[in-house]
Amino acid sequence: MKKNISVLKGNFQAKKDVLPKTLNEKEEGDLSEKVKKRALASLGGSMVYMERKKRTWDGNV
Amino acid sequence: MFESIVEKIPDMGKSYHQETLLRQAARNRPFVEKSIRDLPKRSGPKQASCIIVSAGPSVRRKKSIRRIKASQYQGSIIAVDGAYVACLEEGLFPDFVMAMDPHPTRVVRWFGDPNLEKNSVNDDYFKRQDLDVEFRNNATEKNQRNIDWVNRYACRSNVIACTVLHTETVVARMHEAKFPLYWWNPLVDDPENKNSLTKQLYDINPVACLNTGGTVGNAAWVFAHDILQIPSIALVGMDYGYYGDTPIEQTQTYYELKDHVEKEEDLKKCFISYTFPLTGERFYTDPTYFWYRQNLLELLEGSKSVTVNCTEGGTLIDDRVPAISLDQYLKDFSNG
Repeated sequence: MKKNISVLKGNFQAKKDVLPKTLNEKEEGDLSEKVKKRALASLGGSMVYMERKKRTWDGNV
Repeated sequence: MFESIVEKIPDMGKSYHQETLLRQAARNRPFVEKSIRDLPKRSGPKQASCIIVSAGPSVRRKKSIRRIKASQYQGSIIAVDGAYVACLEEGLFPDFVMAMDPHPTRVVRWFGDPNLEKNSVNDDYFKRQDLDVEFRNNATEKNQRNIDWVNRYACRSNVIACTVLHTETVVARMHEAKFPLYWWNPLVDDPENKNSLTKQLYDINPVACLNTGGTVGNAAWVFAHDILQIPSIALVGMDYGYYGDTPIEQTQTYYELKDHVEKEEDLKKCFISYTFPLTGERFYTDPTYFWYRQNLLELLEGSKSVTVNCTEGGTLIDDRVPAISLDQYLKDFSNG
């Protein structure tokens, strides 16, 4: 199966020209900001840490 | 640059992870039976002292686990998930194994992953960890060995399981291996605040909440200090950083930092160096480990126990946690 796929790869001409989407300046800025934010969010690992006063809590509000 | 990244981590983390934590807590609800408050009482040497074995690179370099085993130390052993199999390798059976992270594919690996091949696709996280050097050379065989060992020895350790662990991978694996599970919620914000995430998690699973300090090693310290109430705590493998000879490409958040900075040359500003006083060796840390380190130091404020750092390296250099050699600690507690 793998062999067949490699034979098919790139051996035909598409009827329409397919162009990669180009981003305008704003879209590019948004994307870059999104990547930076996502990177920052995962820097802290998968756990949130906001509480600094209590070490334990047993539901006694 | 370094400080500004560290400052932004807590806020960004909350909005990013909140949904995952709530979803996982709900999925685990049918399995949350015993709380960490239900653990059997301990006495004698097991209650007098403990060693928290974390998974920093010093554990292998300093042969810390082998030395603990050889000393016939009688106190409690608390291993973080990433150090558990390393303990089994040396014939050391932890009393407790701490597991916290909700990651769907990475955490299960610490217990032998039945779907290793599928879960490793496009993820080089483990290749960037020192503890894993042998594993990466022979992954399939070592993973099967880990599955067998964990299945055989699970009954000898209590898993201290966070309610946000991934249900289908990690919790399923723990059930398969037949670990006794004792559950806890992460105390991530002030439960008295409106819309507190901690309160929401508690409402789903009403078990004790523990401050995590952002990472499983810090959570293990809170468990030892506040739940077990052990008066003498030693830290091993709590490096909070890297040996000076580690290339920055092998650090755990390298890709995230690369995405975050504007220019390639700014990457160097994301790391700071330390000299470890007992050995004079150079270590460095990234914003993530620096943040974890800061969190532990905050948690140590007002501690009733004595905590010593027996990592013999790393960046945890502070009067609140004096550094002593592991051999010294083992000698001090050789008779319990």
